[in-house]
Amino acid sequence: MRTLLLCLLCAGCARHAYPLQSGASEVLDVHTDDGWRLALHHFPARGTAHPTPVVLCHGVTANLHNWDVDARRSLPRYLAARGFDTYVVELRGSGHSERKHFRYSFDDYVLRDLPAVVDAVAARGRSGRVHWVGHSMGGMVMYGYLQRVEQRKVRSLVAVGSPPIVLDQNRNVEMAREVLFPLGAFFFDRMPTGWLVELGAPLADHPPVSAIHLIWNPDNVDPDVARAVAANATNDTAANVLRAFVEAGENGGRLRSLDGAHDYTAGMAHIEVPVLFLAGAVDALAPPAALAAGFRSVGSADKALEVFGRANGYATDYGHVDLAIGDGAPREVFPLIARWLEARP
Amino acid sequence: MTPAPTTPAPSPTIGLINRQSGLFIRPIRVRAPRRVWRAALALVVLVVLALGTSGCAGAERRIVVLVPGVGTDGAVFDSPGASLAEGLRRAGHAVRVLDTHDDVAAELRATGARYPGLDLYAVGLDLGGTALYRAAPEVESLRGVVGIAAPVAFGGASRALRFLFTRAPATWRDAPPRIVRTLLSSGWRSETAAAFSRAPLDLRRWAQLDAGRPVPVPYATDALRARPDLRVLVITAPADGVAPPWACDPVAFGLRWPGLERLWVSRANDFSMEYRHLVLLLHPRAPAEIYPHIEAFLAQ
Repeated sequence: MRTLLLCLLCAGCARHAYPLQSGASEVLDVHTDDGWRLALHHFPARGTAHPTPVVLCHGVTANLHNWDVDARRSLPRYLAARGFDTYVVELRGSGHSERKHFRYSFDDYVLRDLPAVVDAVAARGRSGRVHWVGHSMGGMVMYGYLQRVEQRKVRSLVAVGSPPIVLDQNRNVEMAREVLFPLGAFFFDRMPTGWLVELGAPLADHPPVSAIHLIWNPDNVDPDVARAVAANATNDTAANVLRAFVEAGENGGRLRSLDGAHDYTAGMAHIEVPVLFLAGAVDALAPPAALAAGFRSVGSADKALEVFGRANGYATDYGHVDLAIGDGAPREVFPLIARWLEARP
Repeated sequence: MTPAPTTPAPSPTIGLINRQSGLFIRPIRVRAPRRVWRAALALVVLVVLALGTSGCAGAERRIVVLVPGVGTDGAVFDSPGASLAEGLRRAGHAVRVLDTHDDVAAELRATGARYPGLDLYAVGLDLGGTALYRAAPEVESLRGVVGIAAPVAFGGASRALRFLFTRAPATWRDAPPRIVRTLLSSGWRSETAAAFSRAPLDLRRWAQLDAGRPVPVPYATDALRARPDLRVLVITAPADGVAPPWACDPVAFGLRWPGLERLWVSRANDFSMEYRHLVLLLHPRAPAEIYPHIEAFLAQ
């Protein structure tokens, strides 16, 4: 009962109860061709910068803090310290970016937001290209960009828990897809995902429901970090963005554009830039089986797949979000990403 | 001397809805001769017995063949505290346990011929399940298969498994304990571990099938495609370092058909823990968490 009261009290003010500070030195504005302003958080390289800057992109319903939690659990700060000029983008409707309305879709991310961000960051580097590191949907939007926009401005892609196909293997996801989403999307363009997660922030360290294992492996997330991330790293999102994943579940797992004209899953074969796929062994949202399917289908000659689990010598079996903010990530995930980027200047 | 007044024996009391008020449930007395109650009780006993007997008679229409995998024999299905064979027998199925997955098709055909009146089902662990998938097109009488951590594709082995390939231990007991724990167990009874550790272990076939590939390539999918009528239950655990879902789930290779059912055993799917390879069958919690799914599949 006390916990329930704490939850209700924290609804709307969890961000103040569990604050997070950004490590960015500046926030730049990028404007899309349809007039949206996107926030680009800049983490300047220490020392001489590598020629190709790095862009980090969050997952669905998330924001900057998907990647930047504190001094240790922050891939952008880690990469900046290794000499990469690093940027974290917040897609439309997320974090510090503009929220004009919530009728945008996954395709708007691909066709409007990413071209603006890639052009802006590529222009600031010496190579005229970018490395893209995306978590979950943050990698999937780059799959789409590479298929539908262009490939020459992207030096490499690191897809962290980004499935190019949806495998219907989880009963909680199936229930959300078949019951909760249709119910919510019937009434609202704006799905209250941020509000709901913020509401549950006090419980994030000892979750009462098994569905939390969809988000992360609780054994790999510090309780304070769990509460802070739940309170700060999630936003409300557009129903049309979630619709892409929901409809994939009904199309045999194939991701398609909202109008059905483009098949993002089939388009993987056209991608030729180097791709590193990273998967958490017990990730139920982006299971290694889905990443392995991406590895098999992608057209790149330079590609690799790594599964973070005990059987591969890692400290624990990683889930979904703990690939980015887990206790073991700074020691096990970040160095692997840095080595991949350093090998492709 | 007048006889003491006899008090009538109390009638049984049962709960009924008070139809006058329609609001309360209160006990009322139903008066009836004692012999009527005895007859009613006997009738209830007869009905219960009849239902129980007919249930068993229905289940005995199936024979289930249990097929072990690499480094195990038939005893893996009859472990103390976690016996799938016993559970299936109790559920009323006839059970036959094989000691090897070699020449499974011939064994299935022989079993089918010996019990012509029974529906033929099979449960395979690890490569035993793979052998069943591959045998299915040759055994038309096979109605369904349960594959427990049974790969439909090979390659992409974990580093721990590849390390074991290089060591080539003769039994599990000869393998490094840390690697065995990582690959096989999330905790099991000590007597189970002791019995299991002596089983001969031949990893050559696995090593050949892996061949250092980065991801699994199809191995049994063609056989499954050839039997679209086959009912299959795939049981696989994401934390399994030997045969994870990305090698065991046909859907990961674009293969779906109406008779396919899949169960990913993980905490994200409401299971109590992350299971590893052999404990899907041998963990003390398996009879409560895993076996009922197998029994439900067979009972359909």
